[in-house]
Amino acid sequence: MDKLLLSTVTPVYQGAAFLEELVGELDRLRGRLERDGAPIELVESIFVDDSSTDGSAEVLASLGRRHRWVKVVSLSRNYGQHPATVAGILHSSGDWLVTLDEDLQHRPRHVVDLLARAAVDGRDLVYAAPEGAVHGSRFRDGSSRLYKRLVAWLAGNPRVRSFNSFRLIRGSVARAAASVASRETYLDMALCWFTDRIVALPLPLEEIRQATSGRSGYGFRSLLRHARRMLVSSQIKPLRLGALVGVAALGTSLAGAAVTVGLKLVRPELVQVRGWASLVLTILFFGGLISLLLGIALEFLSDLHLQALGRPTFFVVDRSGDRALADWTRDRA
Amino acid sequence: MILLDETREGRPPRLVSVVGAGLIGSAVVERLESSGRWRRELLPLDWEDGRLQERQLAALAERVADRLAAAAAGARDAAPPRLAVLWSAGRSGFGATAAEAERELASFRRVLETTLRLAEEHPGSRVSFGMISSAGGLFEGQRVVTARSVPAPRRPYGELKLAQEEMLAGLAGGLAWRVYRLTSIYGATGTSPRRGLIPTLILNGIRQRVTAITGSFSTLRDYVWVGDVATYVAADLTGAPAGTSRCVLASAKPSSIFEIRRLIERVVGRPLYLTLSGDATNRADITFAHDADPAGWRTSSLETCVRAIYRGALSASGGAAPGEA
Repeated sequence: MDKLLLSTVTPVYQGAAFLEELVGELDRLRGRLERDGAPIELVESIFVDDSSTDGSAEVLASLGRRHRWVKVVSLSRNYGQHPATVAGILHSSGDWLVTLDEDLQHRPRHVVDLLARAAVDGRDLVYAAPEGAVHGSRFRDGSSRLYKRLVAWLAGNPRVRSFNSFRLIRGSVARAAASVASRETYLDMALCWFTDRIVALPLPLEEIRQATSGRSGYGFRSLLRHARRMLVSSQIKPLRLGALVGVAALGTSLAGAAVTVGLKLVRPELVQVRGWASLVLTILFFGGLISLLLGIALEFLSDLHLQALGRPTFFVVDRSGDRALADWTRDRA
Repeated sequence: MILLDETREGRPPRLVSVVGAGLIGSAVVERLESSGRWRRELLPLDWEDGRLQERQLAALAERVADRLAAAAAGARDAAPPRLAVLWSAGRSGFGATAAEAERELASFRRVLETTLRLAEEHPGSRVSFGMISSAGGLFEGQRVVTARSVPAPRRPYGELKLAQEEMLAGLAGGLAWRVYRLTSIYGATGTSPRRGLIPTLILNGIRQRVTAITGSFSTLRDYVWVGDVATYVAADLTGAPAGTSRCVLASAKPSSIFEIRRLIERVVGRPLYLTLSGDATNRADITFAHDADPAGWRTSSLETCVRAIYRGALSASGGAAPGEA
């Protein structure tokens, strides 16, 4: 049987200092898979240069000349990490695909662990989950966790907490998600449209770039952009909540009206201020009605928006190659 | 069959004979004609009757021989006249039967032998032969095909292309030749019944018709714009013929059917209606690496070219894009 193919995709922005070592580690991974008789081979490592200005393009060109499996894609301008990842995925051919950052935060040696987890559990997407602190800053790690929890709640998608740029994805699923990803789509949200066989695997991850230079490859503004895109790519929970509040207000106003009319008919002496209750109930009724209608309209709009973003009705996946990988993983254990 | 004759004051004549004026052959002819120096002559070539085809090729050879002899006599000190023959015929497509492939191989032999005779009879001229082959047919089912990959055809069409390449290498002798192994070529095909996936999806998207897809959404292919091929091949044919070689003209950018569908839906601005066939014969992936690229080969963006086809199809149907007045 033909071997399965593995591709790696690395978006590169101002990462010239790390590229030699990263390619060296990928080369060792290639050798290891071959030596161990793995049913999968690392056939291409795609580096997407996101218009770096630190000489990354020259380093990549040199690496491409030395290693025929290194493929370089150059973007015409700086688009950001996700579009660069999407471009890399759309240039890949592998049955499985690993996305990893260029700054050695994600060590290629862990790819085998990700593959093992995917094969044994029958998964389409395995995220690396940091075992400990990642950013070398309690504030940054804590705020990242808090932010993910908030977005997970808002988006009604608990998997948001597992999202990580070090991920192993089934090739067909990755390419399908990348195909529908527009500039406003959050890639991981798009991946969730195509599979729910997702798991997180704890691995030691450390952001070397920030630990050594105090600078992150993508700054605060990029993180805000990520947050916005994540919400734009989701059916936001508060929309539904707004409709529910509308229903509750409508119900309360109707019940209040019944009570007020009843009091007026049965015990009129109890009504000491005239007009106040009817005014409040009228406002509550129309406020509730408007909230409900607005909630329904926004729900429709949200559904159309997700359709426009490319959420599919269905997608067919072929997992027939997983058995060889699972057998190899069990034999190694 | 089209014979192109270049008219340049004080320069030795160059002739290009394009055998098979389908999508690729026509694009090469148009690219040459766009310079304004080439005159085209359409000559008949029958694909069913072998004897008739031989007579038609003999007539072509006679016409070319006259032109080469006149040029050689007229300019003794000038550079030698050139003749380039391009085989771009493909009567039988990817789904050709063994019988169709055999008939096409016989036609190829006749054209090659005619070219060899011309080269022998006009030693003062520089004669070369170009052949359009199929990387898809030769490497079907292989991914990340490199310059070192070995062809392993899976169907009669691929076997035909390999047999043609071997025949060319075996018979050509001292003739300069080049084989262009093309991946999935797309371009505006008008009303031709043999359209590829991309123009079919665009036309059916405009007309709101159902397209049957043989393959799966995950099937990977390598799409190349016919204009890029025409530019490269035309420059190659009219350049100085040298040696013998094979090259792969690929984009090295795999595209899944799903990606193509999504792209065309975006361009057309309408949903595409599709049915998926259970036929597994067309599901094999075929993708290519960049290391197989020949010097000077450039590819255009898929989206740009899809938009160009869409605009052309709209103009042809007299329609306007959704959202346009």
